[in-house]
Amino acid sequence: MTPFNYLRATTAEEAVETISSHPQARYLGGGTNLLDLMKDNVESASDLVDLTQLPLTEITERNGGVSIGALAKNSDTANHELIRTRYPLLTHAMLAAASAQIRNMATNGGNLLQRTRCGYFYDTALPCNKRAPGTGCGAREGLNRTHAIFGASDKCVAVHPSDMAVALAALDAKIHVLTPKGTVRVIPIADFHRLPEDHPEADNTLQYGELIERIELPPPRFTENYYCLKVRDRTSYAFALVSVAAALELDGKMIKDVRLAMGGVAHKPWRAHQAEKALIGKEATEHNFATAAEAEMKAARPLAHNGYKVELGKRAIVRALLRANGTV
Amino acid sequence: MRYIGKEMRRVDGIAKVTGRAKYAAEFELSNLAYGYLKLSEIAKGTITSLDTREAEKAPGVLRIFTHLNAPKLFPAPPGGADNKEFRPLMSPNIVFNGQPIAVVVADTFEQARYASQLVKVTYSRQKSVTDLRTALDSARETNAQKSPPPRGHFASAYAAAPFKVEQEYNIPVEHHNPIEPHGATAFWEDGKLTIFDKSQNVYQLRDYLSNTFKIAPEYVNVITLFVGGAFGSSLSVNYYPPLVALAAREVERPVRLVYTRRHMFTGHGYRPDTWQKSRHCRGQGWKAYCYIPSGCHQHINVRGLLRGLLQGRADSL
Repeated sequence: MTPFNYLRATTAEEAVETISSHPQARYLGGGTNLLDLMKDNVESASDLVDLTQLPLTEITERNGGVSIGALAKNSDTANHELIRTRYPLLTHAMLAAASAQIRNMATNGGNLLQRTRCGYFYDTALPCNKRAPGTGCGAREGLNRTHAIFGASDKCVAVHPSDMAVALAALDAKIHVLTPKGTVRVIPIADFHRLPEDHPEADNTLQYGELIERIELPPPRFTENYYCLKVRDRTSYAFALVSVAAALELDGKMIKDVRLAMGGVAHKPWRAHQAEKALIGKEATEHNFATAAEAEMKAARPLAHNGYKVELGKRAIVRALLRANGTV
Repeated sequence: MRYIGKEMRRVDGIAKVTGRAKYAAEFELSNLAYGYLKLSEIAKGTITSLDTREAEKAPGVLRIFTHLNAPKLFPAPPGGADNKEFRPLMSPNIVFNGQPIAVVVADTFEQARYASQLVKVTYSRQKSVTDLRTALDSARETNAQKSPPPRGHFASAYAAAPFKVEQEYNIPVEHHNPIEPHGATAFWEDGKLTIFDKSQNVYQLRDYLSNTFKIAPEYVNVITLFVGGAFGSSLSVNYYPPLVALAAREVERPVRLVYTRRHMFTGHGYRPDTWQKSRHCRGQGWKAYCYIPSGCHQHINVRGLLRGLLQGRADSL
């Protein structure tokens, strides 16, 4: 960890101004990802601007939906009455993540910004275009069991590790960001995280200095039939190999609307648009779920060690839908 | 049967759950210094250059030990050149991924860790083989003299046997990862060494250190009050206790060195990757034949990478 200055911001504007005037500064929330990366020399900062005193922790009704403060803790968010009752898919996803201790420290903004857990990214002795542009992608031809099957590029095959982001993708969240100019920019979650393309060093579309203030969710819809399925090597404290956040809006047996988002399969939460299209207006049956899953997984491009994710993805979509439907 | 299936109060239970049980890296000593291991970044090859100048100037750094300056402490292993047992900091040769190549000693753990990242190393890399199944042809028996000779006539028995089972087994590597990371705290006083270590064999460690530092065994005090899980990984002397003792002797202060969780994956033995092919058969009636598996396993303890072949043999039972 290279030496750094520690600064504490009292207002959001002050935080943004401080970062903007220090070109190698970083925002500090709960520190549950950034500090680990700094200790391992994967990340470094000239200054850390502590955001934890900012009044950005509120979770309140807004415009018929809900506004979630970026500095609220993951545990407080998952357990908040408004989220539990109106957006249970989000609660379900967030409680499957990390450990209780980490959830108590981690902020919502930090959760969105956490970086991949790719072993090549973490090991400064190994090539990684995300950590050190131009050095190559070690995972592509190396050990890629946990890597992407959708949307990868020849520069990077990493996956985004967040469970919360997958549920937010399913729920059409909008990220409200304070810019260095003092304006507020609203980024739909689908446009927040990037695909790697030629610039894997950029995980998301935030410009330097921009500060996530809150996450907004639209008026609640999928409160009855929802399920988050997280498939992983251990039953707790492990990242998803494949995860599915599924939600149905039913009219009797007919699917009026559906949301399907997948984790562990791409550089960003993967909205399963093909599967969704194949389900609207259809009957909620296992056969139709399977057909939709097939349609989505058709575009999967597995690597040498993650071919299992294609079949696993199909089955995970089906099972998540069956559970959301209450059938299983 | 008095105890089986019943909840038992453990004698050390309260000490352990209240933090009173002290593990090897928890003994507070005045003037304590901290060691941090730098590991190799290649699996096989040699160190072509090692520059510690910038690291030595980092805040709090006391000494940095490498193969260039560490006294050649360790006794020649028995069996001479045939024994490939690994000794740390003895040479520029890298024989396994994660091999320790430097010990940084500083006033604080964080200072030692930071300085270790400033040590500049270049390597000449050689091709390494880490996938057991691609190297089965080069497997050889490691302890031919100790293996019992084959008995019986398996091939003909197997050909004629009415009941046969043939199976292939793959057992992957498993790293133990107990809660307590390996580590030790050591100090010297009047030529006597005291070391708090996580050891499953304190007498063996005492003798090893006595041998290494050429002092009488009575002058080595090994203290292991509790072991926070080891599962066998502290049965042999791991490479770090002599390094910690060396550091303490050279900087003339107590030194504590603890593995990070990442160090744990290469810093002590683990269950090796194993491939086995097994054939069993039996004849009519009670006469049975057993073909003890022919197999191959990556012989891994932290001290080297060898491959062993268990010779297939037949026994009539």
